[in-house]
Amino acid sequence: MKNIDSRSHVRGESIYVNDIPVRQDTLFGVVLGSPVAHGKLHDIDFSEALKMDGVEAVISAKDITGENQIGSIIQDEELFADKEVHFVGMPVALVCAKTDAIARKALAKIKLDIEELRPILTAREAYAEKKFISPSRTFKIGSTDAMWEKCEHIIEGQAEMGGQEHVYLETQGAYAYMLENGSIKIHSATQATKHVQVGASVVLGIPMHKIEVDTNRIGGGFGGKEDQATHWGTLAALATNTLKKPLKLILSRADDFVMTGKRHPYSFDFKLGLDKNLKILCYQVEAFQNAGAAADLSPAIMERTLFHGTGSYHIPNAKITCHSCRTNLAPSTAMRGFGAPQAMFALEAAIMKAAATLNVSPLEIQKRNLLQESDRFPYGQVAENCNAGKCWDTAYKKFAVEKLKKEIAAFNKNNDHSKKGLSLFPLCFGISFTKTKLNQGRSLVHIYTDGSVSITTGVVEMGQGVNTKILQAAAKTLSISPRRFTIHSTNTTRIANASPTAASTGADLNGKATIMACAALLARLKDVACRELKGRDPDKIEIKDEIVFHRGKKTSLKWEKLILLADEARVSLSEHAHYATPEVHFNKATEKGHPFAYHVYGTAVTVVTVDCLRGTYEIDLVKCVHDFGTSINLDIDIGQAEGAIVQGIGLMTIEELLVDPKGKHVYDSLSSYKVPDIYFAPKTIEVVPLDSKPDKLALLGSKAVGEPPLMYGIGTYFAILMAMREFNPKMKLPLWAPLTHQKCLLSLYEGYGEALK
Amino acid sequence: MLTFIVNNKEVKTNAPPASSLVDYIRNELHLYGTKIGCREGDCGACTILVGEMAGGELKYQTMNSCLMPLGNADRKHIVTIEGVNGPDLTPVQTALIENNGTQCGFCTPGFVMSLYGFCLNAGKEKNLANAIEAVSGNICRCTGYKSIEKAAAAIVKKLQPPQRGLLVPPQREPSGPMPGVMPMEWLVKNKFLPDYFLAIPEKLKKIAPAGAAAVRESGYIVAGGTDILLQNPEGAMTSGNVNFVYGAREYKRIKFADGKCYVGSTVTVKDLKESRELRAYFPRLDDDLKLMASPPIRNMATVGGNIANGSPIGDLCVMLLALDATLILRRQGENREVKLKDFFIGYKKVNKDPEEFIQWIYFDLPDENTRFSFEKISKRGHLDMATVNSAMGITLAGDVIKKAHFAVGGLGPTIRNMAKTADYLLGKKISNQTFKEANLIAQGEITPRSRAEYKRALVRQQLFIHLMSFAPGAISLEALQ
Repeated sequence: MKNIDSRSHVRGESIYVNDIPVRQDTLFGVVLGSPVAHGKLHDIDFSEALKMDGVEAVISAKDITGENQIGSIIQDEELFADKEVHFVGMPVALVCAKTDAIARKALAKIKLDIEELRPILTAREAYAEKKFISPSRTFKIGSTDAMWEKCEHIIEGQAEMGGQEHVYLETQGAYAYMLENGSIKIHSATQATKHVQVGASVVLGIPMHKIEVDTNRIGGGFGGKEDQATHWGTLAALATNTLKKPLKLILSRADDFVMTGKRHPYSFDFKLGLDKNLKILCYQVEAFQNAGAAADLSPAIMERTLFHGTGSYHIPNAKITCHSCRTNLAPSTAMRGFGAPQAMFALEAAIMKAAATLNVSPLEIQKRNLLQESDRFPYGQVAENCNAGKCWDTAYKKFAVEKLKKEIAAFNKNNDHSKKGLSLFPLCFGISFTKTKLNQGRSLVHIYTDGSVSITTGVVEMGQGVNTKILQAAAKTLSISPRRFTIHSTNTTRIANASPTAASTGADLNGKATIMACAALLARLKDVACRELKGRDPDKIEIKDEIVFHRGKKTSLKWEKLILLADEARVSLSEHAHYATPEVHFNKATEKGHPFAYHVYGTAVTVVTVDCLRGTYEIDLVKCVHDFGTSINLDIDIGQAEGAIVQGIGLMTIEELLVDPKGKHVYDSLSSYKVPDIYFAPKTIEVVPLDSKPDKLALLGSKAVGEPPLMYGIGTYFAILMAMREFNPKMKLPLWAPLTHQKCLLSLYEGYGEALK
Repeated sequence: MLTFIVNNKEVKTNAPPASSLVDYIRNELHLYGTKIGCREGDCGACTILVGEMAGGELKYQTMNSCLMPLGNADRKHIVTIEGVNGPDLTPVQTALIENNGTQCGFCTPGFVMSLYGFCLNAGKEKNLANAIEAVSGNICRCTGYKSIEKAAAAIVKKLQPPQRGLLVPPQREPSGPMPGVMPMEWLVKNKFLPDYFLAIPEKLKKIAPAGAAAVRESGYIVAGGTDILLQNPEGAMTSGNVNFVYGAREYKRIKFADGKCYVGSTVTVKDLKESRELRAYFPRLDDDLKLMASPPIRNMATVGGNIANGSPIGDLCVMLLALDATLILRRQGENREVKLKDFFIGYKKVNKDPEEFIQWIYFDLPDENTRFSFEKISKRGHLDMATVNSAMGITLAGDVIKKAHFAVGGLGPTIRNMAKTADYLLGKKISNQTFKEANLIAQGEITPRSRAEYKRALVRQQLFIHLMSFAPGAISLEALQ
């Protein structure tokens, strides 16, 4: 089945927050962000702005009727800066005006009196000054200390990985208006309706039941609208409640870039010990996470860094430490992979460095250390249905890696100006929220008397096709035509307390809940059918393709009639179901447990060509064998994988974030921050589903797919390094992602600049 | 009062002509299918089609409605995604759905419109490379593009008439999917476009009488406008006297006379890129200009605008400096000429009064002894501004350089005319030694202010590549080691 939204998408008829027709008297809000990264806010003077025609009000911390607090995990984040500013772009005030343009012009008239303080910009700086978001944590298995002396080779080094801007095509935004009796409705571009509801409730000081948050769909999220949509929904609600007028707040791309957090930059110290057979005996890594100015989701992201510290490998002695460091950047936040890509990059960097030092192929080290069935992860869980080796072997054979290697060697021999490189990247990614509490999904299913069905779940559709999968699961459970369904907007009045649509879990949690709701409805309908058919055992009733079967025989009773009979018999045609993932648990005191419902495996083969005269590169191919379980929708799943791969490649190559010494982003727009375009994408992407077993905790056996394939992009980094080493075998290995064109050229000609002087 | 047609409806408006077309489409006409993703032409979500009568034919091009001043819509046909919708899905839309070319959907209307730009472009062969180029100004963050490429391939297939013998002979420039048939009519007949398109030429003739629009002599000159709304997204240009020259047909042509090429200032980058005459002189022109902006921007951006803008990384300026071009400017009935190398005087500052109009740019046509090379390195490769761009033009006598011009962008407030390096090359044969010495001189001519080590390395590499392209074999990698 094709994505159920695709028809309205291609006709331009899909509705995003900014497309909701505005009510009369709607005001438009523009946020004034702090111009400095760190400082004392002594005074805000709006008097000149208020004199402007069309400016209705300027709202700031003093207008907050509840608490000035939107932190979700740790309550350490102000909605509006009050006494201090902590990052460039931190909201200081909201101008509310008759048009967006007027509001924007008014910004220039607001005078801020800020006493600048020295900003901290890197994680290591913050670490040195003991500025932490939350206590550091360590995962351990075996004993690294005792084992170093048994290692034949010990490789130490540093690796760095920069942040990444989400670049959801739809910028953040919200539209809020008053309902009656002091209630407020917020249309929010969020992945987490509950977060916006809680944020508004706390800031306005009114109970959650008076705040209705509705999300029809969002134009991409990638984690960026999990915690960071709360600000804008809450600001819109605050202004609406203060002025009693509707207010629309859509961030410009420039504001979105500056004001919202990004993927965490990380810095690593690693130490890898191997025996003479290239078996990894020991791995120790210390990760410095640049969390930005407030906790946001950093503690959870740090946790995933720890969980994925050993990647797709079995390492008997490992010690993984992570420090969540407070700096003066916008609070770093969730982004596809959620701390895992950084951890995996560090380990691959260590392996690459070991391979280069020992003059062996990294593939040798990778292959010898892949996870096997029943291997234990440092967090206590054991690998079950482990497909690491199977993915590697299948990819190796299917994509003819030996042949590729020969072709590449021949190419490199015959070409001086360009070189090719190859890498393999093995993936293992755990599925579940690592915070066990969040592993719950909800679904509300109504059957109307004409036989059509409405479904609302806690999940937000952001292009990942989750609503299509949920519809498929419902249609399969009820055995009726998909045409009978509408999946409605995610709304806090229909689904309360929803977990965010995150951690790749949306389909599993909310799909399972939908199946439960449909199964309950089906059971009641079977009772009705049984009575109508004068049967005795409702278990002998089945519905197949909208027709009721009794004891295996087709009857004349059809779906629409059955629904009317149920209504006539006063049987409820509505069901709300709640699903909580079984089996998952984790003890933070011991750092052991069984945090994941299951793991997703895969292996990617990447070939690149580096233009050694220009220091640029092209990605020839990315081919992967990926563990989808038993996919219920390969169109959607392969689409997710392809998109994630390209986003992951962007992360590792051209997507560069840089702040100046004052904490301002140097690349702060789509003209200077470049994400992959159609020409940059690999010439070939092939995603081959692994012949895999269904997992019972996955939706109809179809494993979660949103995040895992992103990490295949890591392979591109190392394929480029391999190609560069063909041109300049003596270069110092750059282990600092992204590997931009700049780094590429300078490494290719390392030392040449000196010769000039 | 501006008058134009939006989809199947004529509109008249007194909205400020320098405000953004996308705001008019969304806020005044309430057509929400056109999305705003960046307001700087870097994502393509706001792509629309602009149709106008040219030489008695209705021609459509894609443009970024975020960058397009409303004044440039005057007397034209503006088509938004709503304007291609019919009761059923069109073949373009079906291709995207069938190939899973849409996920979150926010970029999708822009892709649909760019694909229509491809279908409607009579000057381009209907092959996959051209279809992909048509969407190369559209960013999608969800799909990774592979599914969109498949959709584009499906559309290319649908554009090939099934009957044998009706296929466009490859050696001829096709005017549409079927020879002799305007693409628009063919597309209507084959349900790509709604029927109302057939009546558009007559409607346009009514609101846009034939005859060249004369260039006014006063007002702040705006051509394609691609930088105006970028600098002032809130419409700081909404008041004041704006002189829209984009439609000045007199200067929308390329002339050849007396061994010189005269490029009219309102010639667009797309016109240059597709000019068969120019491509005969500059075989790499199509590829070189593919590195400049995106198709919708190339459809808007003019040669005169690129020069007058005075950007330190203007791709055309770098090329024209290497051709030692001259400008003809006009003000208050008076013409004057200025060498391009004397034109750039500071960051976005040029030797020109705001009301002074660049009419023509001319340069000597290359002969068989002339060589020309353009290089551009950016972060991504396409739809990206140069980190460093450069161009070199030389004339050889045998294997000795007789004339040389070298220009480099991205190194400071203005594009550098590398006169010393060019002078050094005179009388030299291309060799490793020549490169090494030229590079030392070039490095002395530049003072990059940011990313200096990288930019110096790029100048070195580009100089090497230029010389290598002029005399393959005369210069080798050893010169770089």
